[in-house]
Amino acid sequence: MNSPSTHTGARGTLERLLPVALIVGAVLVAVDVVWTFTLAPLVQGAQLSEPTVIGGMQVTTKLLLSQKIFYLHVPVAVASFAVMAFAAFFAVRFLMTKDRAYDVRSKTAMEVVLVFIVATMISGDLWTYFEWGVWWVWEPRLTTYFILMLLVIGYFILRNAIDDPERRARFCAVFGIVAFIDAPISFMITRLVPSSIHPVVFRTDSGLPPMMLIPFLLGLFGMLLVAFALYRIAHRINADALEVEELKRALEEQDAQASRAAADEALGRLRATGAHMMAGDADAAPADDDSATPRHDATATDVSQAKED
Amino acid sequence: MKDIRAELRTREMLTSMAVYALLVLTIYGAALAQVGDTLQVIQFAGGLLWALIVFTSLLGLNRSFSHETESGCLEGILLAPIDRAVVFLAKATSNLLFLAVVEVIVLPLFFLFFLSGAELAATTPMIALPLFVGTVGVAGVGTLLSTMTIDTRGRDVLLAILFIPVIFPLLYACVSATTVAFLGVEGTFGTFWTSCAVAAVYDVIMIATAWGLYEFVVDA
Repeated sequence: MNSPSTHTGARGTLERLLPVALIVGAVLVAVDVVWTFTLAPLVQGAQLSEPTVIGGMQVTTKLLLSQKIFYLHVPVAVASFAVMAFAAFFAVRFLMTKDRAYDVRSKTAMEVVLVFIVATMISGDLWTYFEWGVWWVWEPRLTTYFILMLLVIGYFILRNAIDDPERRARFCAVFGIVAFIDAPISFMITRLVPSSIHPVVFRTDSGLPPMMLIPFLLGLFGMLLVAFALYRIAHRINADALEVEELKRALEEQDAQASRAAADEALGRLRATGAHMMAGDADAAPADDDSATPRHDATATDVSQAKED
Repeated sequence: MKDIRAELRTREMLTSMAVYALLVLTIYGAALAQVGDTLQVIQFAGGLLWALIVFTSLLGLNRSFSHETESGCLEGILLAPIDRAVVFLAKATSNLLFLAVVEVIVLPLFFLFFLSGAELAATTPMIALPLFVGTVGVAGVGTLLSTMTIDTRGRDVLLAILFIPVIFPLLYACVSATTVAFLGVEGTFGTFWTSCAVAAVYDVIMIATAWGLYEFVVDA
């Protein structure tokens, strides 16, 4: 056990900060969304075949409203990578300490990762449809991210397939680490493969104008806070579930011990009765019915065998 | 290693893998029956070849540990005073050998069935490099994952579910290198070497990870 008494103080503050983190995160994300649709400039897309008037202005290129997805898509994706790193970190910690608390943390982080990955896939898929005109392309970033999703799903299938909790924790930690290897690959691949259509967004010289950069950063930090709060909430539930499970097992063990003690006692009593009967058998047997006699004999031999043992 | 001796006696695994590969080739035959033109087949022959290898190795990896559990051998091996990493290397090597033998059997059949009428590019023998790098990675990752899935419910499916996504980057790189070698167009060999390098880096990372983590998988 991880000496809970020393951590109570820190954990208490964390728990108290939790609603704050959730609210601040949600507010930041909301501000991001509102800013995105009001203040952030539209992005120039492909050339139009003829000039059109949109909102009182003559434009010659298509203004990409779908570009707004970017302000949510990227923060969610970054949050999924960040939480996945924590999941792998907890998996390593579990293998080092064999403390089941870390297994619960790793699993919890993976659950949050799955939620964020699905959100990223949905927003990204809308993007590919409205910007690139197809629902899916086997493009390096998309492919590696898709693989990441499959790995996380595989993680949970693996979890469900093993019954023994100790082995399940170990195997899942190992697979979590193996699965995490794909995360940096997916993150870096747009930089490594220059032909990729997927833009490299996460960099210091992004060249975004402040009206676009500010909501993006707000959304990013908001989403990270939301991810953190979700993780903590899920962790509280999972840790409680683990505790309940352990208590249940302890109770069952106690039950088993109690029933074993009762069985032992009953056996002892039976033996005593048997011995008593054997003593009484000498004069009782001849008087008994014929049908009852073999049974008595059997009990007597059983008892004598038990005594020899 | 005793695996090889046992295999030489029973030939169980090799036979089933080779027959399975032959069946996959038959399915390809049905799938490609309407394509006809061998020139087109060359363009995705690399992909076909790798799909064949992945499916066959899945079968082989599933089987490679089933002997162990059936005969309670794994416990015996683990009782021996050797490092777990050595067990991993031995298992991975024997898996690698099986895969290599199956590839040696299947590759001529693949050429015979699908590429016999085609004009092969002069660079075709270069597929040996991605084949080698890829098989090493498949054996390494597969050994780790099949050890994990061996005692689970529905292990055959589970191995596939875990194995295919993990192996995917390697598969991608190998297919790209193999296809370049099949097509043999001048000036595309930059891709060939990059892909082989990516696959080799993947091998190193994955085998190092598997090697380090193997202790936790077989422990207890």
